[in-house]
Amino acid sequence: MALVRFAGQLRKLVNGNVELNFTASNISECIKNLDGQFPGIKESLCDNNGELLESINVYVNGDNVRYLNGLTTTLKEEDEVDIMSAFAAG
Amino acid sequence: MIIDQPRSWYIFLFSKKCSYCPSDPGAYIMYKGKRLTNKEYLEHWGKWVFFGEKEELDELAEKLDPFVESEEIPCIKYDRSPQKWFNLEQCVMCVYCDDRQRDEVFKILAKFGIKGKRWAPEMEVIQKWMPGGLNLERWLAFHNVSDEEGEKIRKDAKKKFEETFLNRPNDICFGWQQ
Repeated sequence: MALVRFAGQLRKLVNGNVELNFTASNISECIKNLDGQFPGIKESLCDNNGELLESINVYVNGDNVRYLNGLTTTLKEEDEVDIMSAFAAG
Repeated sequence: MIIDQPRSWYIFLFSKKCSYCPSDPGAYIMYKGKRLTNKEYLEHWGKWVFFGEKEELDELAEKLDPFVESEEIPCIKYDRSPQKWFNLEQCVMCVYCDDRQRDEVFKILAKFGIKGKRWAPEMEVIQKWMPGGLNLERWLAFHNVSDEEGEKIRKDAKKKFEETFLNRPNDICFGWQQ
């Protein structure tokens, strides 16, 4: 299972959880699974077309998925996913 | 060396060697003891980003300072208070280094309990502070900058980027101050 962390105020989206474990084959599925457990979270991370909001950065093992394969970036069991406000990276 | 000047939004950590040469603001931008050029800076420089309460980051800064002094970590900066114009509720700490040494730097951070790997390339940061960029546009809107002044700020940002990085790619890098 991939480990998912939310940084800063985004933790409110997952009821303050620091770390969560999800089985997912890629980032898109990870967000879908998150939305199943925390309804509405997808709307906070993605636009109406299902693309990541510009204000959200998602990292896999430290790298922004925008430089990988976006939402189709594959996940392995030991991967770490970090989600934070893109403003903080500026 | 922790540089905490109340008039600055940020608190910085530089080695004493770097902080004592104000005429060379890019003295810390190095990889394996060699200064980076502007081109190399855009290709390799970046930062690990994480959040914390100010008091937590003050405590962490004290612990990380010896690693900055020994130049295992080139530079650190963190917020004096959360950047409300970006809706951030905690302070952000940025630990700068070349991406070719980022794993070694993260190992140091992990020793102090830091979790969450979030690497921001400096090129991404610069793009966010260019005209139309996420951070610049939010900053202008939050501060109610007039259209005229906003246009000047946008033009200046673009001009500064071009003059610094595009026109002089092989010059020694002196950094980028947004």
